Amino acid sequence: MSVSATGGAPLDFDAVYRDHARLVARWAARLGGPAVSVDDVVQDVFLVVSRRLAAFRGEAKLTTWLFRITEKTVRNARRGIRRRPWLARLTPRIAEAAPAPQPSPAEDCERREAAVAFYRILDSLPEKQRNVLVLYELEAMGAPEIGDLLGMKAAAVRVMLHRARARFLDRMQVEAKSEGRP
Amino acid sequence: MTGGGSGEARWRELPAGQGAEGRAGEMVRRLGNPALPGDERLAAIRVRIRLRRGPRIVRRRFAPVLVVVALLTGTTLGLAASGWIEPLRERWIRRAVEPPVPAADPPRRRLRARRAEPAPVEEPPAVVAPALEPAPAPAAAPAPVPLRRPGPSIAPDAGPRRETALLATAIRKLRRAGDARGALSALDERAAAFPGGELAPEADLVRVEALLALGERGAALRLLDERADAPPRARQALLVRGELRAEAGRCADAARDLGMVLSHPPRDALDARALLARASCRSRLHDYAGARGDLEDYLRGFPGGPDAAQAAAALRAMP
Repeated sequence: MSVSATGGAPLDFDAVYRDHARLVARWAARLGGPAVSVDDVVQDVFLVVSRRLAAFRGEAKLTTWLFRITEKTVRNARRGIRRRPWLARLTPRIAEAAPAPQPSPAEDCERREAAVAFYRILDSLPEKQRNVLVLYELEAMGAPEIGDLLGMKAAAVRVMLHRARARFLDRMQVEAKSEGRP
Repeated sequence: MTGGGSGEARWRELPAGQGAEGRAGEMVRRLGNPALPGDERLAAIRVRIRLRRGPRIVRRRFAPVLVVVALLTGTTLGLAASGWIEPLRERWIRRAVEPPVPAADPPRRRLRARRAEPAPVEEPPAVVAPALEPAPAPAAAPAPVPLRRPGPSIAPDAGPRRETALLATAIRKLRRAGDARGALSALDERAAAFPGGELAPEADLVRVEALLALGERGAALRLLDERADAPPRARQALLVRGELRAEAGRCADAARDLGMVLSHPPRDALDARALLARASCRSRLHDYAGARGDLEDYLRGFPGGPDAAQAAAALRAMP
């Protein structure tokens, strides 16, 4: 029977969904970037949770467990998009042609461009480095918190973060050079 | 400020002009906060999860059956989509409608089949199979084709056979060996030997497939454009032409092609692609009602389709 990490009380799916759906959505948005549908990831994550909650025994923190499922789901979604490039072309076109629900100022456009550029560079990093960088730079989490989520020691997180940042900056400079920017 | 125990400042905290890290910080700052689903969307997701979960016992008991059914369905759809069923069906029809061998000639015919010799002088008619669509009448032969052709000649049906063999070679090279250039060579050979031959429409389709395999999408579209009136059996050609026209920004033409694909009765994988492509075209033509209708049709007809999630996402983005 599934138990909560603190008191040993059984975990109820509805309660887990109510308490953590927003957090999972936030992770999904940050890890997946603009190419991934947050709603779909949340749905897939909680489908897995609904199937496996009974087997969850509280060996890890609930958030750590949820993060692992989210990270895998996002990785699969990104793989799926890479495998079907024609669809990736099609869907943004539909979305681009449809007027935005709110007035679309130039800021939206800039934000979208920044997101595309950022995640393009991010995708060149190994998965673990990618996750550490996202959680540190975008989610503003500290090394110990990241270690809790990823099941690593804080020192290992710092080393990985250092490598991830160096690699990201290198890649950014390569892209800038290829586009003729200083 | 240090980054929560990492000992390094976060990029977003650095001033914009400070080297590569400053530029990265600028990028992170521009990202802002992600748009997250609100209460209503989370509630809708919760409902979808409830629908998808289903009774556990049913899933366990019938899971193997469902896997077999899914495999069979996938194989059938795959065959249909890859264009193998249509040529087979045509071959069966041709065999069925082929004129019967005259009764006076059976021994000679059997002998010829056994020895595989060149065809004898007196031979059944040259027309191997009536095409499903009327073929253009040959200019040099206005008279009806005689049952027995006088005088020595090459086997009367050697032409169509050779044409079929060349086309078969092209298909084999393209689909089995993945040799698109070899396939194009075989098609060129067929076109040179049989200009305006009976199998020209089929050869055009194979040529389009080979060009697409080589990434020459423009050439494929030009070839499809030349075929002003694609016959009904070439639904796949219409679909590909529609998709290529959509890609080239010719949305009105594309929507017309895709509409023709969708006007045929079967509800198959071609329909699924046509609906998505037409939704894209219509939205670019600002026909949002039409695009919404196509996406809804897709989700109704193919709720478990591979692109259902993306179609649903696109539908939500529609005004």
